[in-house]
Amino acid sequence: MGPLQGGGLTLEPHLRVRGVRKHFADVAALDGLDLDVQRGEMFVLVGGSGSGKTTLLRCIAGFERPDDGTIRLAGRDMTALPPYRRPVNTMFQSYALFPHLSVARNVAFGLRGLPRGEVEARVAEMLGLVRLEGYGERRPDQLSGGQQQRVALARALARRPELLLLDEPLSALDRNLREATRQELSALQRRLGVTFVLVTHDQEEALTLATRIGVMQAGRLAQVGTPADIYERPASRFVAEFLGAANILRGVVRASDAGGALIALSTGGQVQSAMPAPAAVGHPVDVVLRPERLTLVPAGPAAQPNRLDARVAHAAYRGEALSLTLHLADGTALRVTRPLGDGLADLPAAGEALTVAWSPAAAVLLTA
Amino acid sequence: MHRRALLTLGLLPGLLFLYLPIILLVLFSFNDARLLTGWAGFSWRWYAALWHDRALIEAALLSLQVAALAATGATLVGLAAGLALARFARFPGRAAFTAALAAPLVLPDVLIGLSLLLLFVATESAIGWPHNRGVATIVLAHVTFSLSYVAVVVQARLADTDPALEEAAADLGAPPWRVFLAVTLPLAAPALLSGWLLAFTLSLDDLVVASFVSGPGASTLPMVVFSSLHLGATPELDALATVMLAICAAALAIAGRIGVARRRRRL
Repeated sequence: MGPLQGGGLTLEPHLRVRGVRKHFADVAALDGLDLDVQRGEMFVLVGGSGSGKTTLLRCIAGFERPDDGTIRLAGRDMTALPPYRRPVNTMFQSYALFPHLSVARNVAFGLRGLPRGEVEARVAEMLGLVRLEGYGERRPDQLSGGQQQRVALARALARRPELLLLDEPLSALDRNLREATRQELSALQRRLGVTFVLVTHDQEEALTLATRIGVMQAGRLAQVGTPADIYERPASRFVAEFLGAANILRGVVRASDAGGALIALSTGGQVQSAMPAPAAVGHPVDVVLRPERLTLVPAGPAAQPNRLDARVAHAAYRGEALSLTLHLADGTALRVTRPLGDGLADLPAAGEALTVAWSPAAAVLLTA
Repeated sequence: MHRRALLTLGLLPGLLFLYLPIILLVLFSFNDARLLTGWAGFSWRWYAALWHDRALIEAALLSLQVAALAATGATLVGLAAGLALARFARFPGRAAFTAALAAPLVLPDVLIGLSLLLLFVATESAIGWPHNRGVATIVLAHVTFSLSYVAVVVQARLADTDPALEEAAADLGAPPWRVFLAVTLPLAAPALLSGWLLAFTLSLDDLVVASFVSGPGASTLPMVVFSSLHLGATPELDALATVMLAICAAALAIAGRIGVARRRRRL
């Protein structure tokens, strides 16, 4: 046990990754990555392909040995342990169910060494957990995709791991099933209290599932925080554009104090932000405006801050909302999402002149 | 109807070309005449003669024994080679290993036989083994050329399976030996069975390599059949061939049945 543990309170985070590096040929998949995950968290790793999120998962599972750095779990250094000695289980993207074994024997695979009665009880418990009672004797290829996904989850949880790794667990399911399964997964995780680290490229999945999100970029974590933190206060242009849609406008700081800042946009017009500027007066900043935080208002006095005159370039009906692409006076494109109220009566026509407005809280400032 | 007639017209000559010799062979095994000249009536006499021909039966038993040993040896070594190719993407000398493994597939039998004979003669003078060439040297020779076939079949099978399966087993606490026994081996099993059968048949009908590496005491069936041609072919050989044909057909039918049953169970 680590020196920091006492009175049932572990001060060291459940999973602690420090300075992990991993190179493949001359490409750095992980570049000195640090990560702390607390016990019971649902931590979601997102990032583009090649950002290193799968490599990180494989290093934690033990399939890859880091070139440098340490990985500690529950107070123990696991860096040098082979996968079969780690209290970590993985749910694979392909599920990796053993095709030659029945569902029950798949779930029991990791329970070797336990007395027979206990194995049977645990298998029954796990199949109950994923609502597959009575499916124990089936072969994996006799199950639907959603059922296979649940067997994979049951098998990975059967050993009661300290940490469960999930590699794109929902990506093979179709859209409707994915949403239902996401809720089940979340409920199950909270009920069991097992620490989950989940990799996904689906931003909606990340935002709805995570207690915290880690956004990966080029082998490092670009930002770690709660979904709201990351969405509302992205730390960089990359994060802003990766999670959710973002309009990013360049400007120059005119004034700034603890209560907010005034930015002059290079496209013309001014932004009043509720956050202090991250740069000194006279220096450039980026202003992030989420499409759904922009509203359309009747044309008014143009000189007011947080208002821009624009023309409709394109309007797309999306069912639950309307997606508009607007052009500012200098041609800069601005995306606006607007919930549909009473139907199509107010669908704007291309070329129509509009004014876009937003509140100071909606304008996020980033160093340019 | 038109298509069907065309199909028959196209298939018939091809099938005749393939099977006419075999049909003739089976027919003449029941011919009550010594010469292959004409039909003299139905008879079991050549089967009776075969039953009393100790030399031929011993040769057949020796061949089966050699084939079983060679197929088993080739399967074990071929499995190792196939695993190396399928599961280790990079190791020093991989390209050379691949080429060396594929060579017996294309090398002429004469060359394989001659080179092995030279090797056995050299090792005999160097370390005194093999003292007498015979079953052991034929088995070794057959393992040498048929392991390539097994390796190819095993590699193809493993390349088709999800590498995450083996990782999943390790992830669930299985040390490498258990991963191999509980996951890799069952996955490779169909390939091992077909590889074994392939090696078995390759050994059973090899004449050239066996002739090079065999000694005075050990003559396999193809060697005995071939040498008896010098004394004139008798319908007894036709009878022997027919018996082997029947055994092969039965084995194929059983293997097919097992395959069908397995597929049915999956549905």
